[in-house]
Amino acid sequence: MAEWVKVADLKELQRRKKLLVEVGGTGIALFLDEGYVYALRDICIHKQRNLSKGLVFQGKVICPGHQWAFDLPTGWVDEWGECQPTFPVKVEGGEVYVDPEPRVRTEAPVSEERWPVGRGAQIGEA
Amino acid sequence: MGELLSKDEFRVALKDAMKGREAKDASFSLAWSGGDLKRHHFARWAENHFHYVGPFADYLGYIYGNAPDSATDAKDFLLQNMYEEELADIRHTDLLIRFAEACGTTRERVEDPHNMNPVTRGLQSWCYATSMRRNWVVATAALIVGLESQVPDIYRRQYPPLLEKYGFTEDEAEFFELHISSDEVHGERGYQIVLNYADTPELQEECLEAVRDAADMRFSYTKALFDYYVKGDMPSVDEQDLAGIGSV
Repeated sequence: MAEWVKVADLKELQRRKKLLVEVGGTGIALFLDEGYVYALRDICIHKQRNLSKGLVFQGKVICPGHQWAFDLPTGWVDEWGECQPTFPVKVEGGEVYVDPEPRVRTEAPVSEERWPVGRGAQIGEA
Repeated sequence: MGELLSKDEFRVALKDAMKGREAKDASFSLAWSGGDLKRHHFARWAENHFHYVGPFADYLGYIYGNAPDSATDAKDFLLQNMYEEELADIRHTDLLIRFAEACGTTRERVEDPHNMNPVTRGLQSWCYATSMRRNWVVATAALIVGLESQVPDIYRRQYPPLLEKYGFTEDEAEFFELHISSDEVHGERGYQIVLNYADTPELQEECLEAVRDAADMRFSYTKALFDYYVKGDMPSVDEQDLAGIGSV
């Protein structure tokens, strides 16, 4: 059973397109891309840079350190076969909620799970 | 002049334009991946490579200025490449200098333009001229697709032997691991610009020609590194033996 924690106002995320929030001492990077919200652990699994300082390109967040490209819905990086933890996210009543239990894949996700088929939480009508 | 290619057809044509002239198949690259180089050869490579890649943000800056205001997404992609190259974390050329120092040369020698050979000087000049004088889409095709997008394929071959055959540490060779990822992203941004903005048969043909020229330039630069710095140390090595596939 997901334990949802309110982490941000949707309006703030709509303004900035990305936000760094903290839940239980864990930094979580939120991204708004094409009307969907995604949540990934902020600290990169590779060299501990901050994904919240990265750019989004073609459904991937590009780590500012070494440009590892993490699929927004799954956290998977094809080039190196590794996975950034992701968090379930939902948007309700103009607020963004995260389930702080991380998901980490050990195998490459199928195409239906990846962007652009796989998506985060839809923000609905603004 | 042919018909306008679809984006899928044009992407294939851009990749085909590099075939047979890819720098991964040049003699210096083959000697590198074959474990035939010494650290002083890598030092000379770094002293040259710095002057080709060091001004990359300059090249992109000229293209950025030549792109119209209406091409906001393309201008953003150029800026993003520059940001990741220079400011997002460690400046990429600082990683190149870290590698150079591990090869026994110094920051001063690397930064000194007198230490590049004439072919590298030609490549750098061609990059400046192309970015300043050519249509901005054509220049993007040349520099990002024709030159930069080749890098992941080159370093996927050259990074493992740096650790396994030449004894560099991961820290010393970070420049190469980084560019396997970064130039995949940077190259794809270049493809997106060219696929979206080369919107006439004439412009597509000009882009293909520029990619062929760029690949030739990078191949010549890489081959010249072998000719200038390695050949004299390996008189018995035939370049065709390195290639194993005929001419290089």
